[in-house]
Amino acid sequence: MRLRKKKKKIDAGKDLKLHPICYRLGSASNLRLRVYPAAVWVGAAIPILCFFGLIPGVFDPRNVGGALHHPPLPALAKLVGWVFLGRLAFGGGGSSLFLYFSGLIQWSVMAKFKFDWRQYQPLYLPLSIFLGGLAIAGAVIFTRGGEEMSTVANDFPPADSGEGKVEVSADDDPAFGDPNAPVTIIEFADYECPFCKSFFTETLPQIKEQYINTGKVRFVLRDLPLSFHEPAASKEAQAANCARDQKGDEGYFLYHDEIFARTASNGKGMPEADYASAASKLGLDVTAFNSCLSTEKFKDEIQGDLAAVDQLVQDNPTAFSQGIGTPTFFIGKSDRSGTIIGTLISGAQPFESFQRVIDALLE
Amino acid sequence: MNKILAALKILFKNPAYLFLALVLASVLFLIYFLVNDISLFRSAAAISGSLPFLWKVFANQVSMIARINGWFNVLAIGLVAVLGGINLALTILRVWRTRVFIGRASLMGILGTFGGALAASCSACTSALVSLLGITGGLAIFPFGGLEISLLAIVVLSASLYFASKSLVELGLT
Repeated sequence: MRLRKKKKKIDAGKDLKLHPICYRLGSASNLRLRVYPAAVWVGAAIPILCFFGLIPGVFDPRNVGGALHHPPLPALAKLVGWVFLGRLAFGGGGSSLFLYFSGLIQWSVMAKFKFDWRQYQPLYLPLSIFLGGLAIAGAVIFTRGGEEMSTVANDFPPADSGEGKVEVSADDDPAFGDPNAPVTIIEFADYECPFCKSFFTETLPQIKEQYINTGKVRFVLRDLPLSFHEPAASKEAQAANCARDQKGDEGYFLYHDEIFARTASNGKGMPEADYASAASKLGLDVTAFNSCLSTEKFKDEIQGDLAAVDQLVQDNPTAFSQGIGTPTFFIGKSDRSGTIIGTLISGAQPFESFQRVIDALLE
Repeated sequence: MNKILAALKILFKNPAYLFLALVLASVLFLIYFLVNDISLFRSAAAISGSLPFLWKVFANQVSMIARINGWFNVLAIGLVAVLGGINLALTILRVWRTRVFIGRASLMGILGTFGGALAASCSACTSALVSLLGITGGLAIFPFGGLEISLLAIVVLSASLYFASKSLVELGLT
């Protein structure tokens, strides 16, 4: 009762101080319609834009460059997106989903408090755009999109445990552990990534102890120097390859350990003098090492890994709908061809994640 | 300040709204990390759907980000979540009692809550939510690892809290 009395006391015109934008944008005189027309528009626009962002494979999964691999629908969506919310709607499934539902909730909460149908007038246009978007998206999914979906389905054969799998090659990249180990882990790493460093210091020792040293797992490392960590990331990757040039895979991984121990991460790299001092510490021919590094002998090797990652992302748009980062792991049964059908582990996850996948493969 | 205290008083006096604020704050904290690292959680969920396992992955992620970016970052994200929770609870309280969704407080609250989503870091070097703004490299490229965005969200949410409290006082709901 007390609440009701208080509600009656509210004088819409005097008590509720509206922002001037409400008067400018609001077209009706009814107070309830002045529920921030701009906000209503935003609330309606967010789900529309995010709906486009949710369609798998429509946008370049790597997202960063903004290039579209799958024309024609996105042209409109992209235009709308850039104009209104920039990339906000195209951040990949997860963030789009979050914004999508937030926008819907926002929109419905505001719409809920309007009872006169005439008051819905400002929503007609966004609603029709939304329904139009639904229709276009539906058409794409049921026509051209259907082909993409079937490709995606092939990339993810249903496994016993239901997890998605991706075909990845170990290439001729450095590896350690028993070559005949039944399970292979392929890591794509960036020496300047602090999370790769975290994996190296915390999780890798446990994997080594339980699986690699016992001959159950072979570990392969492939390079994925990220653009925003350059030039240090590529230089370190090349330095490790120069160490491999002299002392094989063992030399590579010893230098790999030195890099992670010395680098400040996030593109800051390790001091210039440390490249040679690390080589000297490992008993490498420093002159040959310096020459290898200065002539960028392994530049093409690194570029090759980057091209392989690009291909991987293009071939598996759903698996990499949020893009690919470092560290990224693929764990699968070893194959003589060097290619595995691997379970994807994205990011620096705890040891238990690796343990579950490896144990399932060893059973 | 008095207005904020008065508004918070009614919030904390009412166990239902207090509970709602806490739940919303927890959910926001969770969401802030989830949306920024959806690929990690997606791959973890593909390995096992068990909640204790996923919780472990989440806890590992939070602690790793704290180690790499500093505890201040995680605390700032927590503060954004708490302010967002209180803001949303106050908005719900006001909407419930006045039947009107209105004002800069609500809009700022929503903006701040959305802004908070940008503040959380991810446990992989990839384009996090920040990339949506056209910045590649996630939060690593910020001098304070994303603390800047958290502080901005805190300012926006504090302002929102002030306006929400002010309107509650003006509407005589306190």
